[in-house]
Amino acid sequence: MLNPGDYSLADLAVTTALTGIAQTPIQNLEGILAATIEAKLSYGSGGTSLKAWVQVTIDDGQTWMDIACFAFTTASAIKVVNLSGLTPVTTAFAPSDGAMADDTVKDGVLGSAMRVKLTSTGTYANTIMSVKVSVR
Amino acid sequence: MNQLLAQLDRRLEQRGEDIILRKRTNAGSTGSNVDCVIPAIVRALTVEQLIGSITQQNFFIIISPTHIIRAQWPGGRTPAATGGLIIPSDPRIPTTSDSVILRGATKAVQRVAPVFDAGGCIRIELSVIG
Repeated sequence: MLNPGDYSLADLAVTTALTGIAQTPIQNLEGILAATIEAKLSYGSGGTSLKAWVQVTIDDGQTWMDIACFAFTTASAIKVVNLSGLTPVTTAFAPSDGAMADDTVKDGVLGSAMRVKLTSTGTYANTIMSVKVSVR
Repeated sequence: MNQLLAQLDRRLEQRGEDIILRKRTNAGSTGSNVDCVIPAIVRALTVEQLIGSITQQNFFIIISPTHIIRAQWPGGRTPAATGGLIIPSDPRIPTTSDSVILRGATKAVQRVAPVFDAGGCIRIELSVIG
């Protein structure tokens, strides 16, 4: 693939509630075969819930598709998934954008660009959400 | 590609010294880093440059935007909400909030000077201390 390596998809201090805030994408991942994604919430205080949807596009950003959802509440946690671009998906499905169920994935669908969309409720303090991906 | 940038890239790839460029997100006592390893030209200051408050702990670093763009540093960021005539600064250019790990030690970035030629960034000069 082009540009294998480790990238940061999101790294931000979470404070007031976020509603579907998309981060800028990591691009030029043509030929991607697999992605290991790590979502880490370093919790401080406050807040209620926080979700991070990892999304890919295969049409230059016109349509973003959820491939993983990481859900957090009020505790520090690290969650990891590994996705393969070689897993056959033989049943047509309707992609979701920021609507995938908590802590689920859609395996077999990878694209040339990847981003994170964040939604949170409540007001967090001293809290950092970071999502990193290793692509190859 | 700009010829000056191509020359710098070639020089860095042949003779450069790897450094780590680090952007740190802080929230109270919590912190998180986004790093990238890039080649750099690192110069300690000469005797003539050690004047006033400038000490031997200062280093002058030249890096190329090519390697930062290739590493897609600092990764996904929240797009700036500002519009109109105010152009948000390019997140790929380091700031004085960033740091550099150089020869095993963390150095604070004191000054950043992107150099442009023909409308494109061809070199980024950093002054670091620590």
